[in-house]
Amino acid sequence: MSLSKYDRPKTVSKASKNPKDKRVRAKLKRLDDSYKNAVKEAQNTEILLQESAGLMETETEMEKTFKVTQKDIKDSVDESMNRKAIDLKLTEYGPYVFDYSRNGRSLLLGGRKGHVASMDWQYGKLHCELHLNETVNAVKHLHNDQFFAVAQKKYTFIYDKLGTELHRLKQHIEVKHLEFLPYHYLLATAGNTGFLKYQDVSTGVLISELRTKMGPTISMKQNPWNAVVHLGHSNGQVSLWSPTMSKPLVKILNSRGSVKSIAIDRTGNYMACTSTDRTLKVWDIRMFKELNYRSLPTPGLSCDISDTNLLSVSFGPHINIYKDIFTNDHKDVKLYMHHLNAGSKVEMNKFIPFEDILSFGHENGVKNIIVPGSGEANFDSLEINPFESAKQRQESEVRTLVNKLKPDMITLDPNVIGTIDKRANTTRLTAKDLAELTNKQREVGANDVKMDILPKVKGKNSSLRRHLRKKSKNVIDERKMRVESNLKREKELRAKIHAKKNGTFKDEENDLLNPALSRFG
Amino acid sequence: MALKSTFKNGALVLLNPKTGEIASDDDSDALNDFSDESIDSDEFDSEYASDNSGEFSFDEEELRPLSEIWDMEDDKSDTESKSSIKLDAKQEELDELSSSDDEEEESEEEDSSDESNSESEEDIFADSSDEGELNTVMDKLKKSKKKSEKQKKKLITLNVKENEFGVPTNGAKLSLTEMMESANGKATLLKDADQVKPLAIPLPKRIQERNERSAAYEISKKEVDKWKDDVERIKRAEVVKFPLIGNTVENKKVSVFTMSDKPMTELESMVNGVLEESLLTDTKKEALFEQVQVAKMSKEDMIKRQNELRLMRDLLFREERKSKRIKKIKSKSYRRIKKKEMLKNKELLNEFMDDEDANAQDESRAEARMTLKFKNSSSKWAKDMLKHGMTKDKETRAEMEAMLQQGQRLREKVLGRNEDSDDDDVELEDLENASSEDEEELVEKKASVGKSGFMNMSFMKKAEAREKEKNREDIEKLRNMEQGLDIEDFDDASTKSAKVILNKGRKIFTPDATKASKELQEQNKKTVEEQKIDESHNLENSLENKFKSKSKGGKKKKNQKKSTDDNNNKGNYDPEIITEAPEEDAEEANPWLGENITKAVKKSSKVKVVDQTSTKAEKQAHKLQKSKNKSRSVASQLELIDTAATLHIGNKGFDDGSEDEGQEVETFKQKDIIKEAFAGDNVVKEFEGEKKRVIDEEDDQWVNAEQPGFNSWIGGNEKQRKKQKKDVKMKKVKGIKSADQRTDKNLKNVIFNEKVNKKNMKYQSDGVPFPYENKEQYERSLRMPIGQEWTTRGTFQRMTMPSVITKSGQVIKPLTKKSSK
Repeated sequence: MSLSKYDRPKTVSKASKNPKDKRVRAKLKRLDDSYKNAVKEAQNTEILLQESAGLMETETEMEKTFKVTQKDIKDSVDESMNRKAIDLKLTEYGPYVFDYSRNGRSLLLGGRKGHVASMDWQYGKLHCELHLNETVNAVKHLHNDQFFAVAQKKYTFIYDKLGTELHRLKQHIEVKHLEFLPYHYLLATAGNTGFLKYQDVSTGVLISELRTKMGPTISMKQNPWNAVVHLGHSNGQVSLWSPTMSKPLVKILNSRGSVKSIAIDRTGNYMACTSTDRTLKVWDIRMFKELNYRSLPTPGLSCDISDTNLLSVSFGPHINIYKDIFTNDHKDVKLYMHHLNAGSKVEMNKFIPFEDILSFGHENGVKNIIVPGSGEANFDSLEINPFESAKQRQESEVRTLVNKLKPDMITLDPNVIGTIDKRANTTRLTAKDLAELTNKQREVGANDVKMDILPKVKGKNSSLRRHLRKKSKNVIDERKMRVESNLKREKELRAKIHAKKNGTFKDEENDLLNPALSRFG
Repeated sequence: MALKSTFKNGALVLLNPKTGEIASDDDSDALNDFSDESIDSDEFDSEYASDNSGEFSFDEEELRPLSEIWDMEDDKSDTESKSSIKLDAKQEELDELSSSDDEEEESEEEDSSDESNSESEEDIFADSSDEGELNTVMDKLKKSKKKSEKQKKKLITLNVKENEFGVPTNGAKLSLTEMMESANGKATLLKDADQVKPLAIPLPKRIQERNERSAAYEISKKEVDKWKDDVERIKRAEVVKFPLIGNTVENKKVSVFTMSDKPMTELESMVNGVLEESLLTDTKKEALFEQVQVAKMSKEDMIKRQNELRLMRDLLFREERKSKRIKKIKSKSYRRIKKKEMLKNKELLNEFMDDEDANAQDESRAEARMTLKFKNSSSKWAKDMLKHGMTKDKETRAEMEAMLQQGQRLREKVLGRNEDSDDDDVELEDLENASSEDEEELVEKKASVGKSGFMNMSFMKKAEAREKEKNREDIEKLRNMEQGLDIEDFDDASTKSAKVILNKGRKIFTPDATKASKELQEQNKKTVEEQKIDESHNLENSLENKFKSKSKGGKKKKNQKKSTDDNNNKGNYDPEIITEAPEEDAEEANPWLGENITKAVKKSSKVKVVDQTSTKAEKQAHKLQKSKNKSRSVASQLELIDTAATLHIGNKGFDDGSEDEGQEVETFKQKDIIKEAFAGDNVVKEFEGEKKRVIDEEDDQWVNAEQPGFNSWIGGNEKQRKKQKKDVKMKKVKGIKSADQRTDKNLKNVIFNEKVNKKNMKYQSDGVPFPYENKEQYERSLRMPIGQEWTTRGTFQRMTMPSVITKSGQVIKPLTKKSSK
């Protein structure tokens, strides 16, 4: 049986293939059957995926795809596609950063000089427009287009769709980069302070603050597969973070220069980094090995990976789009497309989800260019629905909130959750084994008795003393008197015992008649 | 406790296993009064009490024939003084008992002499005729004793109907004349002593009760087990839907296209006419076929039959396959083992049977009692059933019938008929014969069993007559059934119609009757099946016999083998030796055992391999060599390192993995430029340093094992102190991860955090969860995600289906056993 893409291969040893226990065997068999069935059914549902994906192809070898200009493409594609290739000229507040909502419907613009706008870019409908009179470093949609976060000069703010300021995140200071982990409802921020902070936007709790100890963070990106945040630093390192670990999970030395931008593909397998040393490096982040290498004429400022594994890199006014770059073979890498945004440096570029369009923000606005074959042709409406109605959006919001993952669950390998600890026994211990183990431990414990020398001094904090201490000193009441007398007696008694022990106890004081006559004295 | 020394057919005979002496104890109530009269119980009590201190034995003298006791009573009534003498005699006997009871003959003689000395009462004993009689009795007793010694404890069933006056006399009755006969010197009473086996001591009550309990448990278990299959089925099912499918009524209406007999069109009628003319149509046959084969059977029956046939075929096929496979096995060892196993099993079985015989018998009896199967129609339950008219109910009817049959069988046994003719059909035949033929014959037969038996009594006769009547009815019924089986075209109308004659001269019109008719049919089938099963049993028996004979052959073979083994021991040639010889060789070649051929081989080879087999000297030599090599290699390494260092200095820059691959000159230039530009930043160096540090930190640490301050001050001698410092004991403290186990061991430019994320651990199991045996199995079970996002809708729904589904508004009936086989 050939493996389909729906298969989840797992090495099955003989021992696990035929369990001794009848019940387990039956259960596993049932599971296997259902698994096979599921794979088959998944394969059968492929006929429902009616859109087919494909790339621009040349007829002859002499033709090059990167020589095709936007004009050529626009001439050949239909009107609706043409309409999507918008060009927003915003000359006053540039350069622009932007963000698309997860379903690619809502565009959020952020001009460096304080211009923030949210719009449905396909209909050209503006949701809101803000002039903040403050530097805007980054903008980010939260779980849907209803909320967005803006990293301003000092603080980070959260606005709603209509531009109403909802929150000022005063703990997120001088943020340069924003990331939102949709399954955990976490807003991750990093910036000049060198801190990586996680804020739960559903509860409003600051989950963790992690000190990177590597100076200002230059770039940031999340791995959509495992929600690990990658930070690029000025010393050429890329560090991978989970909110529950105070130290980075992995540190990668990417380049000699600072890491200007990071891109991670949808499957979480590859990472591309541009650096000030003009390199573009592609890493396999399963193996943590460098896969590919390109050197750019000028340092790449931003890069992104599309759903179909096209890599776009912008350097200066240029944008290069590579295909087949995630291989070990250097020669196989082809420049798929090239675009020159003449006269304006490209600030950031990003593929729009589910569209064959690359959007880039530059000094004079935001522009979309058509990149054939860059978008995912078949979307899963249960996951992200570009055509969702308000009701569907609300329902999905509730559902995702119910299914929210804990921040503790973020690990390098998310498949580890639910499995057995690597350090644990690989076989189930029987009651006998367990008993043996505990016995052994007990024995070891008996042998390993720590010879700590314990001071034989008793604590001086008796309840009486505590009472005295707590009570204000200038108030003298009956209880206090009683306590004091008690204390005094105790002290005397102790002294007596001590004296007796030492043999210095003087008996002469103790008259025989004393106890009897003392009450008269 | 009175000891009665009377002998009677079916009397209980106590056997003392130690001394081999016989004591008889008769429980029969009929004789109770008589014995009480005859013997002063007080006397016996006292005697017995003294006996109890010693062994539980009786002197033979106490065992007297009835006639003696009879006489004794007469004498007793005569004089009072005689009793005292008698007492004396008894005392003497007692003394003897206590002194020595080993030499029987001597004591006998003494007894006789004593008796002769004694007075008029002892005349009876002195009587020569009496003495002779006594001797004969003793002989007989001894014979029976010898026999009974061989046999183990056995309870003989009392072959008489149980009642309060019932005497276990095998139908015979002790009459006065018989007793008198014995007194006259004709010992007819003991004529059956050979036939009658002694009864064993009943099991202790505790054990009896235990047996009863176990029997009761078995019965209730059997009852509960009827549900077992169904329960198991439901347990195993992934999803159980209520109401269960079996309980729903199927819609039997099916639109079927059926050919009408009459021709519809003109053409058809024409064709038909021609066919009829030429005698080609045979409508009758078709119709008959339809009626005979299919129409007669209901759908369920058809299915049942088919299933049975299928099952039989399948079983046969499997058996055949299995036997073929087993037959093919040529392995001698397998055969040997098989044979051994079989023999062992057999032996075990035999042993078990011997040991537990008494126990098992008791158990079976207890079970019979529990089920009340042996009781006849006069049992309380049956009466109740009759009273409340429950006999129309099919189950009770069946049960009653079964009961009757059982009773019949037992009665048959009581009458001492041939036990082999237990089979139902035979019984049936017998009964038939009895009813059909003249009853006189039967009477004769019965008479032959026991002339003086109470079977001849009037009430018994009456009862018999009643029973006979009933039997006849039963037989009639059964015959009807049989006929229904044999003749295929049995008149269905008689059973199907609502009119059913249950009693003579009375017709009953009830809906139950139709039910009953159905039951009758079913019963017919069942009986046929049973017969078949019986036949198959017979087949099995024959097979078993074959098997036995085979096993015997196996035994012989084994014996032969034994003899061959003996031969081996003697040193003769035998093929078995050959088979074992290579094994011994293999054992000798065990490398752990020492220096043999293998060693020699290794020595000859140039490449020296040091392993466990090599000698100490060799190892030493190897070590020396090794150390030499080491020193050499260290030197070479040093050289290597030097060169590397120089190279590094020469490069002095960022070493890229992709650098050595041929690229364009331009990029080279660019790289150089970049290197120059970033020459000041020693990013790489820093990174490597950090990695080294991290590795060291997370590696296992060596820590001074001694307490701080310990041994730190010794005294003035400087040298000694230094020496002491050198000998510091170090302890290994386990780090996070040792350097050679790190994930980033071979990864360039990567530092891994090897610390365990403790917050993550709560999402992992710290052991393999219960039903799974190992990690792999468990993780295999997790392979398939259930969520809607990962699977199709169908899969998702199937995987999340509840285990129990109930239809709303439906009555869920309690589980019924589907098939009680």
